Amino acid sequence: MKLVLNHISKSFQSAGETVALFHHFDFTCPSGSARLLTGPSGSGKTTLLRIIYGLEPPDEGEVLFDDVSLYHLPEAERRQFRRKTIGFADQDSSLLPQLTALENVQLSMLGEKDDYRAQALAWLTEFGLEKRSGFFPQQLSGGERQRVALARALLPNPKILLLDEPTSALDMERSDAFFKLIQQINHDHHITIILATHNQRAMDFFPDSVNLAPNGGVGKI
Amino acid sequence: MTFFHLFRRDLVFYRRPFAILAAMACLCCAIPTAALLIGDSVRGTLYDNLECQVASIQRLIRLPYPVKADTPDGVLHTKGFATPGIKIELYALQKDTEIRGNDAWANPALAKRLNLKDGDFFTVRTLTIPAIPSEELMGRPPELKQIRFRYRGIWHDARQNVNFENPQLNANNLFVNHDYLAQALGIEENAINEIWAQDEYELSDEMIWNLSRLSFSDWDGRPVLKSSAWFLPERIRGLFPNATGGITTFAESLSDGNHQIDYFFVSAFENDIFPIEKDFAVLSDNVSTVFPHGGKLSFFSMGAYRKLTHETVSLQHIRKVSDTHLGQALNPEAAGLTDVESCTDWDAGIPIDFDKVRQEDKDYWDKYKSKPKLYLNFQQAQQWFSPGKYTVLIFEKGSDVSDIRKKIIDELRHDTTLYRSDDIKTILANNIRNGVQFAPLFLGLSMFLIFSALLALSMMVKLHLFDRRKELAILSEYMDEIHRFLFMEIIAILLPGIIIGSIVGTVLCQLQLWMLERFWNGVILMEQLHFHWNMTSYLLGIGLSFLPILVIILHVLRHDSSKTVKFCFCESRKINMPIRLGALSFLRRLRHYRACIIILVLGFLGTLGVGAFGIKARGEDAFGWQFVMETILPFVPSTDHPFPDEVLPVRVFTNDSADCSNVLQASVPTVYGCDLSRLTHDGDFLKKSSAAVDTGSLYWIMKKRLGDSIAYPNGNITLSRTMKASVFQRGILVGDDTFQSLFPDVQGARFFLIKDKQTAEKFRQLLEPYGLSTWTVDEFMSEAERFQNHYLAIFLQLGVLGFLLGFFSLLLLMLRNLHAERKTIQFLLDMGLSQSELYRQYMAENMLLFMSGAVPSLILLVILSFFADLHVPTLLFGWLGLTAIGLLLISAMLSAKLKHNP
Repeated sequence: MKLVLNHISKSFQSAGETVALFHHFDFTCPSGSARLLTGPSGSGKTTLLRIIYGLEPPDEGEVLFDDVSLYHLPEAERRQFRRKTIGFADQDSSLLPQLTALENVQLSMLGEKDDYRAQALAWLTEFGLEKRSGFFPQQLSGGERQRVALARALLPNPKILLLDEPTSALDMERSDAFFKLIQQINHDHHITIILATHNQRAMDFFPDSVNLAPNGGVGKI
Repeated sequence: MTFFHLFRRDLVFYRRPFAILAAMACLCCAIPTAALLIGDSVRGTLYDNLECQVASIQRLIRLPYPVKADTPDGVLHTKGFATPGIKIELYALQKDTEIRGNDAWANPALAKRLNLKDGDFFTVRTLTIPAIPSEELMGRPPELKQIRFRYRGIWHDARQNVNFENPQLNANNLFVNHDYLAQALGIEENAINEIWAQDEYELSDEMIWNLSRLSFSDWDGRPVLKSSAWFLPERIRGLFPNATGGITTFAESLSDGNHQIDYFFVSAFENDIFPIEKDFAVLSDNVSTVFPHGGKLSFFSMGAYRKLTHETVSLQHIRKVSDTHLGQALNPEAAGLTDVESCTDWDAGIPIDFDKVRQEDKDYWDKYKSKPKLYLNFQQAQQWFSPGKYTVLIFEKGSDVSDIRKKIIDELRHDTTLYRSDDIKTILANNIRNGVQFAPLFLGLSMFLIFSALLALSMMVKLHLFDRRKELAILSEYMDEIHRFLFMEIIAILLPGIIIGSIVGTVLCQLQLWMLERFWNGVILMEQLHFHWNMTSYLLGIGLSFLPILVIILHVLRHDSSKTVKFCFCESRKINMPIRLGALSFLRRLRHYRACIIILVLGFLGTLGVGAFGIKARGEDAFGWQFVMETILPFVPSTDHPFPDEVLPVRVFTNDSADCSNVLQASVPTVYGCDLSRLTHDGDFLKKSSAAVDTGSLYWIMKKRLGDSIAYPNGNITLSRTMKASVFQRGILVGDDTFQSLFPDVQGARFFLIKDKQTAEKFRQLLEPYGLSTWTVDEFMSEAERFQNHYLAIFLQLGVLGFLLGFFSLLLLMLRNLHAERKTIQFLLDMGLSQSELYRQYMAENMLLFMSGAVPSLILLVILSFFADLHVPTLLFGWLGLTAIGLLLISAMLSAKLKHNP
């Protein structure tokens, strides 16, 4: 699925002043490609991902998935569209403490008739976590939790995967392994991937990147 | 992944907070359910008691005095007492053949109280029942009798616990032989004064005639109607307008200064029987003494409590005339006076100096008995002796006695003053139904506890959601209606809590019934309380808890609980001290602490407010009289020992007790009657047929208002003014004249107010044989307030429970915070903060929380004390005590927790 951001502007209030984060920002991500969003803290990586995910409407501009303008959809439809089309994993690898790894993966299909157990297990197996499927989040390592969160984002077979600082809590070795995994997913499943990180090593795996500078500066590397 | 699966996981993971939420819901339901079930149980027990005490008796007929009758349901009933002051109901069943001689059978309550064993002899004191009312001239004070019985065992009849007064109380019943009791009381055989009928019952003509105490004698072929009560019933005269009336009295003397005759009967007749002009008198020519210039007639007049006065009237002309055509038949009969063989055997209740009786008086008596010696003009005589009253009615020659008798019986059958016939079961059942509503009372008393529990629940739900805010943010990504899921989840947790609350409510009710039986018995005076339940109570209990819970959950879910209050100290104050950090933490969490603070305020108010209110201020008490005496048997003084001025006798018509110990409605309350001008020194205290009543009794026990009327057999009494905390709170207070016109059969006094200690000491000896209890007015009022204080004690305990609930919510909150901040605590310790600094920080936060409940409650209580009767020292010391205990517990808990589990 192709993602296009058209003239996106976003600003926020801070200490009584309006700070512009983006101003008429354009961005295109072809179907099946993987793009890196880089930049220092406060440059707006997470905000941009939230705009793409449909959680934070831009002040101006539109977000297009193929020809679908996300923010022109009514709230309920947008939510449905998001659940079916976009996968999201954040920097905290937020897992529900009361659910096992497997159940946390299944959570993304909450309320469906089928329990998607086999598919969830397949993802965990693919990520090397089949033996940890019955473990609770607090029994897993940071990397394992991140992979579980990734599996949860992938279970609904999304067309686009958004990853927000997925390696922030991982060491270099585990970060590399994780980036390889993402690469693999992008390659095998042709999922469009947008990865926001300040981890410079990510560029070794995803050369096509956009560098977000603080206070709205945007540069392309 | 299904919602149910997620719910199951939540159930396991959040088992502790869920258990606390369910416990709160359980408490919210248990309290009203218990309150409602107590209402069911108290009322149910009263109905049980009613069934047991009234047994199969449907209609109770009470006669004012024993009359001869032959009915299978006839009972001779009188009251007595055994030392030390145990009131006993003596029953002699007319047709019983099992009880012989002086055998006596008791009900279990009496056997237990007297500790009786088979074959034990014991004495019961009671009073004779005089034929003529005690306070009339020809009447005599009842005599004290000591009847000795031999105890044979527990009476096996289903009516052993018969009690027509109050199903709340156990009567002390003694079943004895009819002939033995009748003989001891000086009553004729087969006489009864109660009928316990199992169905509708109508008195026979014979019984009504006996009740009327009328009899005929014959005077030269003319029927003469007389009464053994001396005067004829007033309504009889109107039935026979053509009959000739007459009046007779006993005179003390007739004297002209030179001559005198003593102790004789004086009569006067209407119409042509013996016509005499006004101011003239006719002396029988059988009397030898002459009074040519008239003379002075001295006769007795009897006032209330047999206060004898001598009245003297002047007769201008006294002539002698033959009265041979008149006779003794025209005089009524008075036991001990008209029926004795010799006039030296007179045993009247009036002082007679036998030294004045001369030989010729004796001869006259031997020959003419009680035939009058002097005759007066009828109008004058009636005016002097007893206005409007007659002692005989003389009919035309040849009048049919049976016709007269029938006419009288027909008239008296509908006379409500002649006998009292009550559908007793229905009356008592109505009194139970309309009595104290325990369900709303206990519900009202526990309302703020329920409110506290609801607040605690709301606080716990808020904190629970706050703790789950991160998780809920994730869930909201996968769930369209996260609030609906949360709502369903919380309700699914709380519903079992509510259901368990119903069961806990049942257990609580049983516990409180046990407490009421053992420790709070002063509230209801019932030795046994049976558990009764009503489905409505359970449903109402569930509804009363579920609805507010529903509202609270919806409210909490609609408001984002993750918001925190932004609060900063001004810049000049650095947050470099643990205490300031604690204070800041408290202020920032104020939003979450709000409910806890309100619960604490409620707890303080409930505990201290009620405690301070319990120290009662005085009311009108006994209008300045110092002592209260009460006897089991009524006391009528003899004519030579009237009541001194320092004693105020009070008559009592015993019916439904209106004091706060009575849980039934006092639909027809007890009536106290006395000389109101002596009691209150206010001549206009009450008008005729109106009553004063204690405010509490009026609204709570009688359930009436000022201006309402209460129907008594002889007329109505209007409630016209209130009193506050008086010694008359068991009933209503009326003037002597109202009392005597409404209850002519209540003779003597059973309640006495005494001016000073010396009189009380002197009077005690006189009243002791009548089953006396003596109190100072303070003691009497304290006894009365005991019941009120029992209710207050329950209220106080509920207040303490509210305080505990608030306090434990605070401790729970404190532990939860320590648990939630364990990482922060560890971080602070790693940063170099000492244990004591950490303790000070958390102590400051929790102390502020506790004090923010304690201080406003103190301010509120002090303000309240200006409007209500609050005892300020109790309030202040209580507040200090509770605050100290609270702070100590917080401190102890905090140091233990920080030391062992930072």
